[in-house]
Amino acid sequence: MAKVVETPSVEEYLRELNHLLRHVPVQLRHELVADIAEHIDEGREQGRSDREIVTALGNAESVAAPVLEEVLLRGAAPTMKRNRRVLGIVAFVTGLFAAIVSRSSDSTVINMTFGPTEMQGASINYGYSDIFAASQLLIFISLGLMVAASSVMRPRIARSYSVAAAIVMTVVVIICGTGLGMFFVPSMVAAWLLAGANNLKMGADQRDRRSRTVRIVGGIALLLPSSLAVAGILSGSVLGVGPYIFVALGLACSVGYLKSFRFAQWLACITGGLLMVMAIIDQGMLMAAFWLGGIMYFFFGLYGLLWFSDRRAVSTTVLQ
Amino acid sequence: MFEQREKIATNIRKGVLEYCVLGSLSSGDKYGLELAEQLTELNLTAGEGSLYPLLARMKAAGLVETQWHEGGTGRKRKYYSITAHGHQMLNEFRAVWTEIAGQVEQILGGQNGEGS
Repeated sequence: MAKVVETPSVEEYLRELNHLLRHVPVQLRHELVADIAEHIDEGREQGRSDREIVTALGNAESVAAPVLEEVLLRGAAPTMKRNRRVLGIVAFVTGLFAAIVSRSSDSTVINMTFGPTEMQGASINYGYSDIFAASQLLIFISLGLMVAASSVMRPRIARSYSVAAAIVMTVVVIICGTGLGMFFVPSMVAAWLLAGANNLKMGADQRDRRSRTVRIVGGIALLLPSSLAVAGILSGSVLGVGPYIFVALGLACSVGYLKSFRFAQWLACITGGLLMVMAIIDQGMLMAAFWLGGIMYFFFGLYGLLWFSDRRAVSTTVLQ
Repeated sequence: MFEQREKIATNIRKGVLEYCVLGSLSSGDKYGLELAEQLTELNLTAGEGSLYPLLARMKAAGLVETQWHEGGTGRKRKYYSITAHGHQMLNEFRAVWTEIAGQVEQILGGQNGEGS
């Protein structure tokens, strides 16, 4: 006697299939479910019973299995793996950086005008007890670790986790405000980039479209600081060769970025890193501007390095 | 005994299904159910549903393309047709299949004692 297995209704079948395909790029998922739905309609018109149709289709798991396998394979693909690793390292380093800087800048942020000047930058503890300072540092570092962790998780878990981590970082930035919060902005951006890198649902086409948008927005954004420098030069408020060098640098980054040149992405990345370091060391009047500008240069550059060349890599593997 | 036979057959079918689809389409465009029925009838696929992920993959690989045509009943149907690249792959497969089938036959025939 064959075991009696209850056949799901057509609606149940389609709902189950749709649910099983939830990690699959949206377009592919819709297309497959639509194909099966059409198959069912067609079968009904030819006088097949629902039960016959569903039995002939085979269970929803076996229909979804090859697609899921492919998506998971893509999750383990070298580029995706590399991007996740790189972003994990960036998230950790920026987190560490933020933890140390936010601790050491404590007095400059809080007592900018009131604190004893000889204390500023002299001691990382500012008279707090060592335990207090150390635990505060640990809490700040754990934020960076939290963000970086998703880069070593299994792809399916990593997606939900990294989105949650990115939301937490955003809340941290907002709560900490313009003082301390600013130092966590790189961590926050890295967290959102990781959330994107962990997105298995995004097909190659969608990725390309996003890259194109980032390229145009980035190209324009990278030009903005230069235009400020130009304004500064014209109004005579900035002096020396520095501004001229920066204008040239910004122009090279911007145009190269729009043209998707590799060197421009590296240049933006390095310029951004230098600007950020400069902002911290200098702690001058324009600290926030340099810091945020640096973040912008660094991450646009990084995005380009990680994703812009994808297309060429993919098309060559298809051709082979 | 039957189970083992089924297992062997499933494994082989898995590798050739894609080319059977191309072969079927090379004699004319078909819509999903038509293709599914033909392949199930020939026992080439166990579940009709698993054909659609395969077709989607083949479409992405440029082996087949789809068009919406009005069928006999007046509703729009998604028809699959083979591309030039698909034809090329089908010809490659034909050559490989003939070669392997001959080689397998040769060695199995020999083991039966018929060869020597």
